[in-house]
Formats: sequence, structure tokens, C-alpha cells
Amino acid sequence: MITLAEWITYYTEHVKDVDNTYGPGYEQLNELFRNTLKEAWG
Amino acid sequence: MVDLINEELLRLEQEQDIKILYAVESGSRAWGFASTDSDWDVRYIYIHKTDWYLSVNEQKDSYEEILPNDIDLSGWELRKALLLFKKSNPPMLEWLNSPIVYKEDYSTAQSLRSMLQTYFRPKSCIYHYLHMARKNYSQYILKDTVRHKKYFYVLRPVLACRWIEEKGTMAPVEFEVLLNEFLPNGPVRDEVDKLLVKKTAGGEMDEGPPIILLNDYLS
Repeated sequence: MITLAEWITYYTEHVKDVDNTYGPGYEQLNELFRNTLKEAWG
Repeated sequence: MVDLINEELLRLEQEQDIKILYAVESGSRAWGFASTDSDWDVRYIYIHKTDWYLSVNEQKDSYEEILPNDIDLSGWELRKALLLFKKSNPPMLEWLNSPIVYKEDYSTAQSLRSMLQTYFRPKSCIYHYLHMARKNYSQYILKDTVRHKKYFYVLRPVLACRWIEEKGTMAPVEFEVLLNEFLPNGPVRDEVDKLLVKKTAGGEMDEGPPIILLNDYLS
């Protein structure tokens, strides 16, 4: 069984390889913001 | 206590002329290993009226208040919350999945949950949990006396990293779900369960000698 210490070491070395491409842009979030303003305050 | 928390949220809305869109419990109560004297860590997302957003000057986009009855209130203005969501900020994602929800009167939180997987970025979340695990492991576990909660502050983030890597989704908030997935049984699980009983029946500051089986697992 792998120990937690080994997991920590593994992730320390491995994390740089994990994909970190940013997600979609702001369009959906802008729309959500505007819709929430309307929903909350009319 | 829940009624009291809801009263405080209503007070904040009235005092600050805001609407609270979503309010949850975070931290040990949400994770499922609160002690008898744990704080109530209430986290919320709020929105101002339209005019507030039409100002030239920068304005405060968060609010914190600690009340005398162990209620710790901390809120983020919606635009700040959305920017953090876009960056796959782990606390923000945990709030959205908290099992203890005090208030969800608008569709905002549900809309964000429906977009969560699209915006979820494993790397930023693994970094967050890794930092938490390393810090607690190096500073607290390798001592003559160990606070019970520190074992959980190492175990939970490491198991969360495993979840993120193996499943490609944000880790569940509840510690028990992580345990059942990665430590379903065996002597280490038995020891964790015993410690959970001690932690939830005792105080935040309770400590004891290192637990040999867990330290063997950790070393």
C-alpha cells in the first residue's frame, strides 16, 4: 500500500504535468451575472 | 443554531442592502469531522444593487465578521465569486457542493453547479490540496503530541488529490465519501474511525500521543 507521504511526494513531482488549460471565457459568466441581477432585484 | 444563522444572514441583507444568493457551511462541519466546540464557518455569495456596479471607484468585494457565539461569517460579492469560479478556485467549488446549505433562494448556485465540470481545472485543485497536506504534515504530524484534527487535515487533502486524479472531477466535500472510496476497510480505516469518534466527541484543541498505525501509514 502506498503511504500518504509517498502520495505527497508523488503529487509534488506530478502536479506540474497535470493539464491546466483554462476553461471557457467570460460569456457564460457574464450572462449569469446579468441574469442574477435581474432575478435578485427585478 | 441554524435559525440563528439565518437571522444573521437576514440582518446582513438589511444592513448592507444586498441579497444573499447562497449560504453554506464550510470547514470541519461540512467535511464531517467537527468537534463539539467547532466554529460555525458560514460562507455566502451576495449581490449588490445595479448602481453599486456603476461606480468608478473600486469597492470592497468581500465581508467578514466573527460573532461572539462562534459564528464566523465570510461572504464574497458575486462578481468576485464568478472570477474565482473561472479560475477553478477550490474553496469556491467546495462551497457549491457543501452538504449544509443555509440559503439558496436564487438560481445562481444551481447554474454554477451545472457549469462546474466545464470550468473545473484539476491542476489548481491538486495544488491547493497538496499545499494543505504538506503544510499540516510537516508542521504538525511529526511531533511528540499531535492534535487530532491535524491527521484529518493531511488525510482529507491527499485523498482529495487521489479523487481528482482518478475521477477527473472535483473531490467530494464529505470526508466519509473519500474514506469509503479509498480506505473502505482495514486496520488504517479502523484507526481513522476511532480518531473520528474522538474528534467529534472532543474539543478542537484535543491532542494526544502520535497514533502508531497512522504514523506508520504517514511515514
